[in-house]
Amino acid sequence: MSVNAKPIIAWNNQVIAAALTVSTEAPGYPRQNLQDWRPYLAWQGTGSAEQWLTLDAGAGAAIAATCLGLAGHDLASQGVTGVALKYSDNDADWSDCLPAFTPASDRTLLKIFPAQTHRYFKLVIPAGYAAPPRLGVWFLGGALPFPVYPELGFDPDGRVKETEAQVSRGGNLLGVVERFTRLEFKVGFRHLAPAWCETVWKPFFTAAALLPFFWAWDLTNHSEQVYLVRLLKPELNLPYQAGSWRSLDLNLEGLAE
Amino acid sequence: MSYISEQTGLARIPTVLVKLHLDYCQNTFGQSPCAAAGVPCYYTYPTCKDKAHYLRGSKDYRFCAQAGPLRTDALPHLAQLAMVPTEIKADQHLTRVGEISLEFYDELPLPLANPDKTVGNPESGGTFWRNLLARNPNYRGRPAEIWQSFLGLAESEARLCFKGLITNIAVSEGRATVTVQDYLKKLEVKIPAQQSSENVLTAAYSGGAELLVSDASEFASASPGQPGLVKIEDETNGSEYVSYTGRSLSDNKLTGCQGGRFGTVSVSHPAGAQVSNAVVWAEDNGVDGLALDEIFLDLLTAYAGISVLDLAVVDLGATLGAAAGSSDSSLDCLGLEDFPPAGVFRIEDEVIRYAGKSSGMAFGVVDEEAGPQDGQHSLDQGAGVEQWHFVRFQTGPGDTALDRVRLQLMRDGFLAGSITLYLYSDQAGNPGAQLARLGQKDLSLVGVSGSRDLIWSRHLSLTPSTAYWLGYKLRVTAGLAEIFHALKVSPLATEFKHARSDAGPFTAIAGLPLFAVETSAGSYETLTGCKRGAYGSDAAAHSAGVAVQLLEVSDEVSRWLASARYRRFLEKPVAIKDLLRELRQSTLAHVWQGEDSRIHLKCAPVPFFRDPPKSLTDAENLVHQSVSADQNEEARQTRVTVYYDPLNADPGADPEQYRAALLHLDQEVESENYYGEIRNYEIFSPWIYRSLEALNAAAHFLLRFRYGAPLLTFGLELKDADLGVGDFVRVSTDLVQAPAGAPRLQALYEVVKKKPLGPNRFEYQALEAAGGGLNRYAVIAPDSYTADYDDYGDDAHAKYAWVSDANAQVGADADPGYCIS
Repeated sequence: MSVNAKPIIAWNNQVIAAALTVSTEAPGYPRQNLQDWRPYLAWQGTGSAEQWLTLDAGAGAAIAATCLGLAGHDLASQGVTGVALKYSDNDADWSDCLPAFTPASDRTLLKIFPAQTHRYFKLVIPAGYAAPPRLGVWFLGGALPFPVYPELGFDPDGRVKETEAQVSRGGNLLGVVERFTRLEFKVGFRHLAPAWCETVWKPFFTAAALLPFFWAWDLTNHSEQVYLVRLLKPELNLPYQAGSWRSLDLNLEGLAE
Repeated sequence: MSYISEQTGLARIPTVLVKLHLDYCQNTFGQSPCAAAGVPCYYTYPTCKDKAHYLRGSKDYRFCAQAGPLRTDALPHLAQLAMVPTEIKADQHLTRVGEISLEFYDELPLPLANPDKTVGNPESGGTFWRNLLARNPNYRGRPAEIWQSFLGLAESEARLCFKGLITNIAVSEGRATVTVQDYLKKLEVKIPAQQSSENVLTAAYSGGAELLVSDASEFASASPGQPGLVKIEDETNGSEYVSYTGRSLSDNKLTGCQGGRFGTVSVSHPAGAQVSNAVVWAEDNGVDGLALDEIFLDLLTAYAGISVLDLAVVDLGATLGAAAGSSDSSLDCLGLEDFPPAGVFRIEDEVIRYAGKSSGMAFGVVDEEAGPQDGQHSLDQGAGVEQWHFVRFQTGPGDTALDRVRLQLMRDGFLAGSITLYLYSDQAGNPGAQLARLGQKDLSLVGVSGSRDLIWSRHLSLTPSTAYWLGYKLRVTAGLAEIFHALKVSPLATEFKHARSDAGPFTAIAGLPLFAVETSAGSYETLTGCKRGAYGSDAAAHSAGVAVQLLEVSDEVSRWLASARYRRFLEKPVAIKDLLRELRQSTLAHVWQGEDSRIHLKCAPVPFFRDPPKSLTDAENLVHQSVSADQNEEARQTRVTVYYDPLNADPGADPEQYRAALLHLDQEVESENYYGEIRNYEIFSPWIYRSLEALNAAAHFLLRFRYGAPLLTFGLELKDADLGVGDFVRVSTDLVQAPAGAPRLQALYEVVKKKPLGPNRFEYQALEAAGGGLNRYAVIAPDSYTADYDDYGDDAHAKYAWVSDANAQVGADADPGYCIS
C-alpha cells in the first residue's frame, strides 16, 4: 500500500456551462440531463457504435480541468471498457488526458490527471457494450486537495440506516424494515494554514456550498471510496487554533451506493 | 427472491413507485399532422397551438421515495404518503372512499420540458411541480397508481397497491401534494341527468321512431347497444316510457324510439307534454326485476364510467378449452364445475355475459377412451353381487395426469348400493396392481330410464405413454333392476374386460365402451348464449388455454341471491353512490375497492369462504399495544322493518310511498331476560318488490346485528399484510375472552378497514362476523361427513353444520347451533 493520499474535493463542474454535444441520445434521456448534477436524470445513447460526449467552451474560451468524475452510470454493468477522456483545441486533433480505463463497478468514480486547459474535451465510450450505457453526472473540473490529513477518528464508511421494527404482544420480533440508508460522515481538519483557508476554502464555499461535489478521502489506496456528497449544513466555520492555525469540521451527506 | 418471500422475511427494504398518468399529445410539435408554429407547446391540450390535431394520449410521470434507493426511471421527489383508508361501514351500508395524499418535494425543473420529444422547450424558470401544474390544469380525474416492492426485486415483481383518480394538486413552498381517490369516487355522478322543465314534445308523439323535443342535447347520448330512456309526462292519456337509440341535435329529435316500454301503454301524447330522462332496471314488462349482478354492472360501467376490467374476478381454475372467435356465442371451456348457470366472466380483456351452461353433454375430449358408439351393455346385475369391470387406456406423450373419470350409467328400476372406482397398472394386458382408489358413488345417483354421468374428480399423476386400467366395482345391497353403462363418443380403440369376482378370469367384452378418461386437458363444457364484449369491453378472439374467470359479483350473486330480483324506476337525479347504498341495504352487500385496485362486491356478509381465514395470535401476529375492542353497541338491532314495493318511482323514506312492509324480529333478544328492549331498523327499499327479497334482507341483517357488531382494532406487521379489507380473519387475543376467562379462540371477524401506519405496520379494524360466536352459519357438508358433531374437530365445526337439538345446541358441550342464512 502506498502512502495515503490526502482528501480531495472535485468541484467547479465545467460540464454544466459548456456547449455539450453527444453522438446519440435516447428519447427521454437527453444530454441536458448531464448538466444538472442529478444522478437520477441520465443521458443514454442509442445503437451500438462508439458513443462520445463533447464539450466546447466556445470560441476564445477554454475549459480548465484536472478531474474526471462519473456518477449515476452503468458502465460496468454494460461491459464498457477503455473509456477515454480527450482534449483538443481544434475539434480535430485529439490527445488523451489520461490513459483509457475500465470502470470496475457502477459506483461513483473519480480520476485525476495533469491539468489541461483547452477549448474541447471529449469523453469516449468505445463500442462493444452490451446495451447503450447510461450516465447521470459527468464531472470535468478542478480539484481541491486538502493540505492535511483528516483528524484522528475519521470514519470514511459512515452509514446511517433508519429502520423500524415491530414487536408482537407476545414479545416476538415480527419484522424490521429499512426506511433508507444514507452516507453520512464527519471529517475534521486541523492545522490549516490561514492562507489556504482564504484562497482555497472560502472561494469553494462561496461558489459551491449548496452544490454536490465529489469526495475522495484517499484516492491512492481507496479509489473505490469516492462519493457524490454535499455539505449537510453549509456554514463557513474556520475557528482559529493555537499557533495561528485554523480548523475545519465538515458534515457530509450523500447517497449510499 | 420474490415479493412474498421479501414481505414475509424478517428484514427487508420496501420501495414505492408512484405513477401519475397525465394527458400527453402523441404528435410532435410542428410536424404533420400538427401544423403549429412558433414556440413549442408542452404537449398538453391547454398549451396546444393546433387543437384540431391534438391527439390525446398519456404520459407516465414516475416518482420514487426521496430517501429510497436511486432509480433512473423515476424522480426521487416523494416525501411521504398518507392514506385515508377504504372503510366498509357495514351497519350503514356505506364504504368510505379510499384516498391517498402524496406529498412531493418540489425542485428545479427538468433540463428539458419534454425530454422524450424531439421538439420542445428548455426549462428556464419555475419549479418542477409548478410547471407541471401550469401545463396540466386538466389533471383532475386522470389515473394514478402506487406500486410497492422491495429492494432487489425485478420490476415485474412489484404489486399495485392503489389505483385511483387524481382529484387535487396543491403546491406550496418546496412541496406539492397530490390527492388520489379510489374509483368509487366516480359514483358521485347523478343519474338520470336533470333536464329543463321546458323541454317538451314539439310535436305530438304516437309511438313512431322519432320523437321531437325542445332540446335533444339535454338527453343522454344513446346507441343501439346502450339505448336511452325518456318518460313523457301525460296526466290525460297516461305517461309513457320511450326508449331511443340515437339523438339528432341539429333538429332536436330522438331517433330509434320505441314506445310503451316497461309496462307503460303506447298512446298518443300532444305537443307540449314534458319529456324527461329516466332510467329503469326491470324486464320490459315493467314487472319482473333483474338479478343484482346485472344492475350492479350496469350502474358501475354504463353510468359511473368505471371500466369493467377494474372489477374483481374469481379464478375457479376454468380455462378456455378451444380457441374462440370474437363473435362465437358458445365457448367450450374446462373446469366450469363451480360456475353458476348464468353470469358474467372475463377472458383476457373481454367480459362476456352468458345465459347458460351445458351439462351432461356428449364427450368431445381427445383423451376420452371408449369404443363403438351408441350401445348399451347390461351388467346382469343382481343384489349382493359384486361385479368388476375394467377398461384399459393409454396415456399420450403429453398426458401427465388424470383429473376426472366419467362413467355414463342407467338403471331401469330400484337399486341400492355403491359403485367404487379404482386405478390399476397394466400387467401383460390385464389389470395389475391397484394404484389408487378414485372414490365411491351411491347407486342412487345413477339415472333411472335415462343415462346420467357419474363423475369422479381426482387428480392423479400418470406416466406419459403408459397403459393403465380403470376398474369399478358394484356392490348392490338391494333391488333387482339392471344397470347399464352407455356409450361415449370416441374413435379411439381400447379394450374392455370384466371379471365375475375378484379372483375370476378376465373376460373380454367385445366392443363395449365404458369410460371417459380425462387427463389434464379435461372435458369440455360449454357456456352458451354468450354476449360478447359486454359492459364496454372489446370482443376479441382468444386462444385455447387462457383463463376463464368469473366476475366476483356473479359468483356472489349466484351463491346468495340466485333467484332474487330487483327493480327500480328512477326519474329524478340521484347519485349512483346513493343508488348503490339502497341496493346494498336491500341485499346486505358490501362494495369496496380492494388493495388489488379491483372493485369488489360481497353479497351477504355471511362468513363463507373457500380458503380458511388467516389466524392471528397475540404471540405471532398482533403488534404490541395495538389491540382494542369496542362493543359497538349502537349497531345492535332486535328487529327489522322492510318497506318495499314502492307506489311510484323515487319513493324515498316515506312509508306511505310503499305498498308493503315486512317486519322481522327476534323475540329472544327482545325479551327481558336478554336485552329487554326493542331496536327497530328500517329499510326503505325502492328496489324490492317481492316479499322474498324483503325477508332475505331483513333476515340477513338481523342475523348479523342482533347481538351487536363488536369492532376489534389491531395492528399487524408487514409480514401479515396480505390480510385485506373484506377478508375474514380468526383472532385469538386475551382482549376478547370467553365467559370462563380464557381468550375466545379463533373468534371470527371481517376486516372493514386497513390503514398503513408506517412502512411495516398496518392498523386494522374488523367487525365481529358471527355474533360473538353465537351465530354459526350452516353450510352443507360433503357426503363423506357421516358422523356426529363430536366426532369432528374445530375446523369441521367451523366449516360445516350439524342439526341441533330442541335448544338450538349441538354436541356434548352444548355448543351453539347453526343458523340457516
